[in-house]
Order: sequence, then C-alpha cells, then structure tokens
Amino acid sequence: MSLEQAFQSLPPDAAEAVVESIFSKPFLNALGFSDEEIVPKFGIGKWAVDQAARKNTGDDIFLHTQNDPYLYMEVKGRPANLSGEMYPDHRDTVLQLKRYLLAPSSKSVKWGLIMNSLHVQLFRKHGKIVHPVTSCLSLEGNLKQVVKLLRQHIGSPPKALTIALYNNKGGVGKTTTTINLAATLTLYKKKVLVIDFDHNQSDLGDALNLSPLKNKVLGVLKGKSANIRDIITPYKLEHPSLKEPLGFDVITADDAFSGELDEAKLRQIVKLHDLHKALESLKNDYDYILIDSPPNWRLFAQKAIYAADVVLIPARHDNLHSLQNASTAITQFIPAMREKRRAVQESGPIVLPIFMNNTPTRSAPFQVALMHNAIKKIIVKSKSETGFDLTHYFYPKYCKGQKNLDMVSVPYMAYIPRADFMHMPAAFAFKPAREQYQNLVKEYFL
Amino acid sequence: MSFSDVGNLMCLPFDEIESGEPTDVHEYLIQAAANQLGPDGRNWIPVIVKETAPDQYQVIGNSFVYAVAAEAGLAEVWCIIADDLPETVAISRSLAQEVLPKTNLSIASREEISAAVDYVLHQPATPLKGVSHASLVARLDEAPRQYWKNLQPITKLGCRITGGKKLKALEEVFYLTPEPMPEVITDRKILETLTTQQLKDMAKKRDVKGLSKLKKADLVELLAAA
Ligand SMILES: Nc1ncnc2c1ncn2[C@@H]1O[C@H](COP(=O)(O)OP(=O)(O)OP(=O)(O)O)[C@@H](O)[C@H]1O
Ligand SMILES: [Mg+2]
Repeated sequence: MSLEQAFQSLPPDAAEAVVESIFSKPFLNALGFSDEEIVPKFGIGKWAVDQAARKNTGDDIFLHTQNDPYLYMEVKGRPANLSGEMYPDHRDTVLQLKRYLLAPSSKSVKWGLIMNSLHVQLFRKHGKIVHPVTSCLSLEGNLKQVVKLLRQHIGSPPKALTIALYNNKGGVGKTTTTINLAATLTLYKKKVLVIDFDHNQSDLGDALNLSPLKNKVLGVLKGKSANIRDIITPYKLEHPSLKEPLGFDVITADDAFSGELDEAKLRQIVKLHDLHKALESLKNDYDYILIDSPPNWRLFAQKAIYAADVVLIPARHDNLHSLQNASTAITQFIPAMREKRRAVQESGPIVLPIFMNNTPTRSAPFQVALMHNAIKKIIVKSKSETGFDLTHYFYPKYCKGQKNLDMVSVPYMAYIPRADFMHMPAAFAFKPAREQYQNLVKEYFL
Repeated sequence: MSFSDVGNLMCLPFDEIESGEPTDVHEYLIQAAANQLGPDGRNWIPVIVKETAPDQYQVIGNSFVYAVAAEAGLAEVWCIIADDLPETVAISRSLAQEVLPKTNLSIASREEISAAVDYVLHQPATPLKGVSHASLVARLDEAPRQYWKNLQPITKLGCRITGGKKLKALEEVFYLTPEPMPEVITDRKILETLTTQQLKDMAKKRDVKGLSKLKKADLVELLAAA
C-alpha cells in the first residue's frame, strides 16, 4: 500500500494501534528506510520506543542485529493532539521521546520523530541536547512535501549545535561564558567557532587579543561578495607543555557596526535570517557554534537568536533586572523569533535552564532568600499574565513532590577578571575555573 | 484467597509490636507529636512491621511513628504488614528517611555524584567546609573509580580531602563494587592517576627493563605506547 493510500484508509479517529499497523511502516519506507531497516517496539532498557530505524551497512542488517539505531519514532493515535507545542499531549509525547533519546543505550541515535498520522515533528539529538528541528507539520494534503523535507534533514545531519548566549541586561557574563565554554569544549576535543555579534563593544575579541574586523561582516551577511570562511581567525594557545596548540575559531566583531547605527537603514539592506543562512555552510565544520549577543533587543540580538538551535541565558542572583529580562526573553523575544522560523517550517531555538553567573562562594542565606523570592514573583507574574510556566527555566530539577531549587551556576572567581588581563580564557589558565566550566559543559551539553 | 496479611493495613495491639532499630530524632519532636496525637488518637501514618511469630510483630520502618505512639500511650497502633525480606527492611528504612541511601561510586553517573556531594556539603556540620563542589565532582567523575577498592584515592585528587573525618563523611554516601584492574592499561588518562609504584609493577609484568631511572611521565608514556 502506498503512503497516500495508507493515509486515506485511516479512520478519522484512528487509535494508536491502528496508526501503527497501517501507517508507521509506509511512512518510514517513504523516509528512505526499507523493511529490513525498521524495528518495531525497539527495546531501550526497560522501555520500548514504537519504531527504530537505521540504514543497513553491508552485512549489518538492522532488523537482525538491532545495533546502533539512528532514528526513533514515537507514534500516537489521532485523538492525541500533536498539532502544536502548547498542547498537553504534545508535551507528554516530547518528554517520552526525550527520555528514549537520552537513554544510555541510545548513543548512536541522531533523530527522533513524534507522529500521529495527522502531524509529525522532527527532533535532533546533539550530545545531551534534544531540540526540535521542524515545526509541527500537518500531513493532511502535504504528505509529499513533508516527506521530502524530513528526508532532507535526516539524510544530512549537521555536525554543529548553534548556541546563542543572550540576556538583554548587560554585564551578566555572556562574553565570559562564551569564551570559557568554547575553551572547555575544546578540551573535550570539540571543534568550536565563536562569533562576537556584539559589534558595539567587541569585548570578546579584546579578551583574546584579536582585533575587530573592518567592514567585512556586512558583505558576508548580504551573502554576495564575501565568503564567511575568509573572516574566521583562529585563536591558539601555545604552551611548552602542550603537544599541539589548543584553540578554537573566532569571528570577531566588526568596527563598521560600532557606534550609533541607523537601525532602520540597516534593516533595509540586511535580513533577519541572514546570519542563520551564512552559518549554513559551516555547520559541518564545527561541533559547536557559539554566538555572543549584545545586551539589547535590536537587530543583531534578533539575528543571533533567530540563527540558534538553543539559547543559553546567563543571569545574576544579585541583579533583579537580569532575572526579569530572562523572563521577558523567554516569554516574548525568543517566541517571536520562533514564530518567524515556524513560518518556514522550522522550529527555532529552545531555551536552556537559566544559568546563574557570579554566585557568591560563601553562602549568604539572606541574599539567596531574596533571590528565590524575586524569582517566585517573576514565575507567578508570568503565569498570570502570559500563562507561561517559567519554573523549569529557573529550577530545572524542580519536580513532582520535590521542591528542588538547585540552579545551574558558576561562582564568582577572581581568576576570571585576571584571565581577562592575560588575554586568555580562564578555563585554559586556571584549573579551578576550568573545573567550574567542565561542570557547566557536562550539565548542559556533553 | 491468601491467608497472608502481607500488604494489609491493620490495627494491632501495642503490646504485640516489638521495637526495631530505634529512632534517633530529638525527643522534643517525639513529645510534641505525642501531645498532638493524644492517647485516643489515630496514627494516620502507619508503622511498617513484619510478622515474627503469630501475634508478634517487629517494627521495620517509620520507627518515629512507633516512638510517638509509645509516648502517647496508644493501646492500638495502625500498621502495614510487610514481608520479611532483608530488602524490604532496607527500602522501608530508606523511604522513611531513617537511613541514608548510598550511591555506588564505581558506576555512578556525574549527576548522581553531583547530588551526593551536594548533599554532604549541605549538612550543617559538614567536615567538608572549603571543599569545592565543582572540583570534587569534576575530579571524581574523571577518576578511574571503577577500579577503586576503597575511597582512599580521593585523598590524591587534590580537593583538600586528606582522609579522616572528611573521607568518613563521603563514606556515608558512597560505596564501591570495584572491577578488577585489567592487566594491560593503555588509556593515558587512567595511567596518569596511578602511583609511580603501580606503574612500575605494571611495566615489570610486561618485562620492561631499566625502570628505576624512569619518572612517572616516562612510565605513562611507555605504557600508553605499548
Ligand atoms: N564568574 C565570574 N567571576 C568573576 N568575574 C566574572 C564572572 N563572570 C563575569 N565576570 C566579570 O564580570 C564582567 C562582565 O562580564 P561579561 O563581559 O562577560 O558580561 P557580558 O554579559 O558579556 O556584558 P555585556 O552585556 O556588556 O556584553 C567582566 O569584567 C568579567 O570579567
Ligand atoms: Mg559581552
């Protein structure tokens, strides 16, 4: 039976078992997996995902060996509403898929699908991160186009995860965190590109002693004259004790965009999605692309968020505005960029749990209580005004019956300003700083 | 039908219940709760008991509730009858927070280590003051702890843990089920964590001569290359 016929033959309220028996296999066939490349009810520890698939290689027939699955698909019945991310059915199904994708035995899996034969959504796994790649795509009348789109993604998995560091409050540690995440990921042998998109300050380049570009970025963004590879500067740390120099690549800020810009004029010549597009050609060269964004909600910050797979928001416990701004970013700014990307069938970035930078080392109970109170107010306010529950963005470990207020954090360290003067990432120069960032990297990414 | 009472909630005469491991909570908490309960009250949170003989029971969990019932002078106590497997005692005491559950450091994930270390650091009288959570977690995570036979190697991690009380505090939350150390190790990371003596022993087994002059770094180099 062809996919189209299978689709037509499904009753309007087909239950999960019916979707499974009639639609799942033709759907995976259409995505390019033969019958011998599909295993139903694939065991993952004590769980089982509805479908797993992988291309056969030589003698290794996936149906027989069941080694190294490449894609999981979690199937639901038509009554389960998977048409948008705000629906509880959708949320529960995504949680289920995530659990499967992040299980220790799922190391080889790159993709996850949720599907109820009316809608489908594709997710990618990159290290510890699972993020949506497409919007919730409707299959009704679109079978061919959706299959084609999914095949394009699944056939060419990009290597890189693009992370924007953002908070529209200044001085919370965006630049510091960007540099040290890059350095630490490098220690784990990851290839990293850092983009200083805060053209007004060009702090990131300064911190590494790299000079800003001169009128180069505009050409790259316009996608005409210049090749993005020509504006990449390698940052290298050479030291007698190192066999090979350690380092990562940097695109420094551009002087042409510093100072007062006529934003309206700029918007006439560049587009929101141009950074995203320019990075496309680099996505197989790097494991991570980190974008340091400016502390405002203007054009360059918008481009950075638009281009990202995930957004990491640093905040400070002692700065109420940085907490409030984190909330505004999560409930307004980032959803606005996601909506733009949904219009082109993409997903746009997810937001990682907010991370607290510069926390005091010696516990100061009074300050901590003040912060939790402030956060509580922000959570209540956001819930009543926008219906958005921010609890997990502040407290990722908060769960049923457990009031766990742990936050991801990096303490205040005197090493950090000192490393600035040495023009070197603190994570390279000082072991205690390195260990803090190792924990951060493992908490979020590896 | 089954004649076993296992799983049932039963109202048992106080005299038929024998104390198990007694609770060590402060007497104030027992007295105040007993006053609140009163001699005619009902303990809605049951005591967990096992049957030791006909009409004879022993407390295996919620011994705090048992102590309060005794203090209040209840004639009858509501109990849940559990089976008498050793695991049942262990899990009942863990669920009632009467013992600290332990983490297997040989195989624990970074998250599990992080939570256990965080717990120890947050105890009011922790002997681990001044120990950095991030350092200890990062170093434990990367250490070849699958081979550790005891927690002594922690003192070599350079985390200001030098043995004694500090190590004891960690023993409260960690236990080990070590794997035997393989004969041949070439993983540089693991080699670097071994002592010079251990490295020499390993090299001897592979019939390498002239070891006495070699420094640790050379030994690692040698064994990693083999
Ligand atoms: N964990 C830390 N411990 C000590 N100092 C820190 C820490 N994090 C950041 N700093 C210092 O705080 C200052 C501000 O940090 P940074 O420049 O990274 O913030 P930013 O968010 O990029 O600022 P802006 O919004 O201006 O771009 C810097 O001087 C930096 O050295
Ligand atoms: Mg900055």
